[in-house]
Amino acid sequence: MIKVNLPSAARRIEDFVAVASLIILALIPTTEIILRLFFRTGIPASTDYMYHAVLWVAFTGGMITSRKNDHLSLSIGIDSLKEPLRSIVKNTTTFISVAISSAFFWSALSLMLNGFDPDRLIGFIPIRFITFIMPLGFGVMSFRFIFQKGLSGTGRIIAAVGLIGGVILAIPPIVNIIYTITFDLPLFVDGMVDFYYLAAGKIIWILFIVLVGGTLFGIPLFIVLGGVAYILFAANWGALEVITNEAYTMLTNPSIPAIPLFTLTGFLLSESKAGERFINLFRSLFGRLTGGMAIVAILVCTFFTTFTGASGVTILALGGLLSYVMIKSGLYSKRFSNGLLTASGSIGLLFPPSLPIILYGVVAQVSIKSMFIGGIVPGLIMVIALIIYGVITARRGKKETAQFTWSEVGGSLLESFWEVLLPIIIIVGYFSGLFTLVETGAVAVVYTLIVEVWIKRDISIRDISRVVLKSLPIIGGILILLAVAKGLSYYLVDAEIPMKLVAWAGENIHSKYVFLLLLNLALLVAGCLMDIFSAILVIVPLILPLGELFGIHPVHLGIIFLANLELGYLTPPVGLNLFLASYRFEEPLIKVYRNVIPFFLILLITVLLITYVPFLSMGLLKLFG
Amino acid sequence: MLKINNFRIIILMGLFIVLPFQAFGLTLKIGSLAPVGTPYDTALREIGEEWNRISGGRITVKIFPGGIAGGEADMIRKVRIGQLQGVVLTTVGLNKIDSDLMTMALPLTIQSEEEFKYVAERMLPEWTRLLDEKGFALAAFDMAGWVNIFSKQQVNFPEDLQSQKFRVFHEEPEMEQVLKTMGFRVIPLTQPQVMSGLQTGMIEAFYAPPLLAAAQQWFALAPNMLNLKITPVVGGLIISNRTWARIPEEYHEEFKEAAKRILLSLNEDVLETEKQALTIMKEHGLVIHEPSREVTERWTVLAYESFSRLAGVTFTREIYKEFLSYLEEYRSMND
Repeated sequence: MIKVNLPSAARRIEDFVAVASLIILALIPTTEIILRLFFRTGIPASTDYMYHAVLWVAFTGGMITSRKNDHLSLSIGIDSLKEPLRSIVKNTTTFISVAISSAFFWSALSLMLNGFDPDRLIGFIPIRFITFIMPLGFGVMSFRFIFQKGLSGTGRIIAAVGLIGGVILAIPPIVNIIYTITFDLPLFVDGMVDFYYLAAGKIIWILFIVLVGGTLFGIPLFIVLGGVAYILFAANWGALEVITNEAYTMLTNPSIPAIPLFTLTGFLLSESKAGERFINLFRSLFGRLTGGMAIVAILVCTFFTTFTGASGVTILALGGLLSYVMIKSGLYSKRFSNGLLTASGSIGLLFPPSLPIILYGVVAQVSIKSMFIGGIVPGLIMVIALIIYGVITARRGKKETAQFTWSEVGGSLLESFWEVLLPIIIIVGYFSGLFTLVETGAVAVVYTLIVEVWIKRDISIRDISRVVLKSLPIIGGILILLAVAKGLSYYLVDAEIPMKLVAWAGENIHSKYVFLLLLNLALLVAGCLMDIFSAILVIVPLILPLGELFGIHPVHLGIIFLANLELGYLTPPVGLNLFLASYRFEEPLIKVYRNVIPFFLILLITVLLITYVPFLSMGLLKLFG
Repeated sequence: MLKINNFRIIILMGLFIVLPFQAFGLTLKIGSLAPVGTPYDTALREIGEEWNRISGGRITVKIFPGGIAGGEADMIRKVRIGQLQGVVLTTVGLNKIDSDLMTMALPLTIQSEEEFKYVAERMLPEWTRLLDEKGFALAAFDMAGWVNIFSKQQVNFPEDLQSQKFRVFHEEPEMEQVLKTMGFRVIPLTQPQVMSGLQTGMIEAFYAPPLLAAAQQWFALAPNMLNLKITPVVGGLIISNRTWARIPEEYHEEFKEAAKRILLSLNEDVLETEKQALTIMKEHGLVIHEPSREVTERWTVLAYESFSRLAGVTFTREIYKEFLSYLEEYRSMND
């Protein structure tokens, strides 16, 4: 009996800790605001607690993501394979995933022992207790790869052998661990470590090709990005603890708590009936207009994607409903509706409190507020462009019948009043300087909870933990990806690649416009191969000094970058929205590709406009800055 | 048996390839927050070149400036795990290695470069020992410039600052706590958040060296500078013990001497650049308020009150007393 119950008990503890960490993360800043505003004091060490709560959210979340087998990955390759090739490929990719994630385990363990002053406290909690979640998280993830569903007996054994692969990959960190906890080792151990680095330098290209190729066959992106960073450091005599050190640095960055908080807000909204209320409100406002339903769909998507932009929640949560409403209006074909919704799945990316904007601010060391201000006009242009296309298409169909009545507007506004207030609270609270960004995120969570649980009663008190739990695989997946991608980002710094790139560009590119054109092209390619978060971490450090070289303002550069990446979501073959849409609308990928082409072209034009007319991004900023 | 022998041979071969590689040279990766082109960065580069020359090219220094290798806490971790071999730290980072090092730059204690030099020379063995216990060697150490308070509304007495929202450095939870208990309304913000914080009114005052206030244009929004020497800007070049041991012993003293020589002129360089910056800032609306005797006294009293709370909690009382006794010794000698 005990044997049977142990895993489920462990799972319950895991769930509980994850939910508790996320709730603590929301409560600390909220309490801080109340204390500051009313008592002019604060919680001792509150910021330190908050930063480290993110670490726990990320790793417990990541463990749950593994349990649900929900890590972001592409698997177009594997679907097209037949047995026995399919099994062989599957076993190989699992082997690689186990090897890499267990190497991360050793790296994290060594970091925990060597990277921190053992006497350091977070508030009153020893740092080693806090950071223990990192090796634990990677360890659990390794085992979950081995015990995942759909693996044959042989497959499981091969996967388990991956643990040995992990030990080999992690020889230097393991040696460091042994040095720290016990005794001096015989000299040949040092020789072994040196041999390891030499060998890594020789076989890096094989590992590199296997990993990157494996992306197409379902190796999770965090394994690929982290793994690439790991072998690059291994081949260059780096300290392999640096990967997990960068993960720690990334997750404890002061602005990062905003990411889980706003994602949770978006999730709470999508689990309530807020979406329907918004549709009713916008329908009562715009339903009478030609193309009104397209406007409704775009505005609802814009609202939701500002919170959940990069996670695809909008398409998953609202895609079905909006598609139904649009098709029912009789003006739009299924093809048009689904194409529009796929394209709108990241349309709010340039508006506050968009997570990619926050992350860009963090990485580029640019004021997040300036970025938000810079994004408003370009964001509007993209929205309006889609609306215009929607209206033009509708004019070809028959006139819509919905009537505009003030009573209907009043009724639906009353219904959705509390949710309409949310963006206002966010914008006013944040831009007036009343709250910091993270505090705004916490306020948004608490406010949404109060509205949906006590005012609207869409979510019962008992359901809160279920809904929070449901958001964790997404939050955990994003945070773990961010954490390991930072390792790759640091490799570029360590190898001084940005400097070399600048030197090359200074010699070979003589015009700002040629640079921008190349940038557009490069980002388009990057956008369809990489998710937006990894792209920000890996590519932004490369293009920032280039932007400086060609006199492009970092805010403008950021908007160009994000608008381009937004387009990348729609770029075949591997734009993320395309997969989500294919899944949600139950259409084959090829059909989804066909659906989005006109929308892709329209957005491409807006991206070019944003790129070559800096005034669009900088105008408002000059006015307010 | 045969297998094991083969294995040994492989390892030996590995060693042969590796050994000459290591004897041939050692690259020190050193991280620093100082942006490229500042006097601090220039001095660090000079030290690197000097070390390279002294060691006949065996030691190469590679600098990661402007915080590209991370914040101070992050860089310290990188030195611990061996990804960096050294780091330039201000008191923020030194304090993270050992909180007793906080005594180097307690607010409103040291008031001149001469005082600093006198005290630092005598405290150096103690500070070196503290660092050594944590696994770091102190290769160079000096002060360059001062930290001042900038604010929207003019600040003379501490109460004037208590009514304004005051930015603290987000990496200094101890300082945050001290200021909170002293009745200041502190808001921890990262460097890129300061500008927008000033624009929206989230913060109204901050402390920084004038060079930083000029470079980041913060002074435009907080154009009142109180010319009170809050703390000297103290920096130390820290090398991990592991790396220091790999540098041939014969160079150790020479390296330290070279660094000391180069840093001698740094303080002057910084003050000179600072003077230019202040002139430009004044042209753009900065008002510098000279503190009266009473103002200085009130601030000093407040500072000493808070130290008495910190001594024995954040840093050890003995070190604090030792530090103060040297300071008093110097002052009584020069009265």
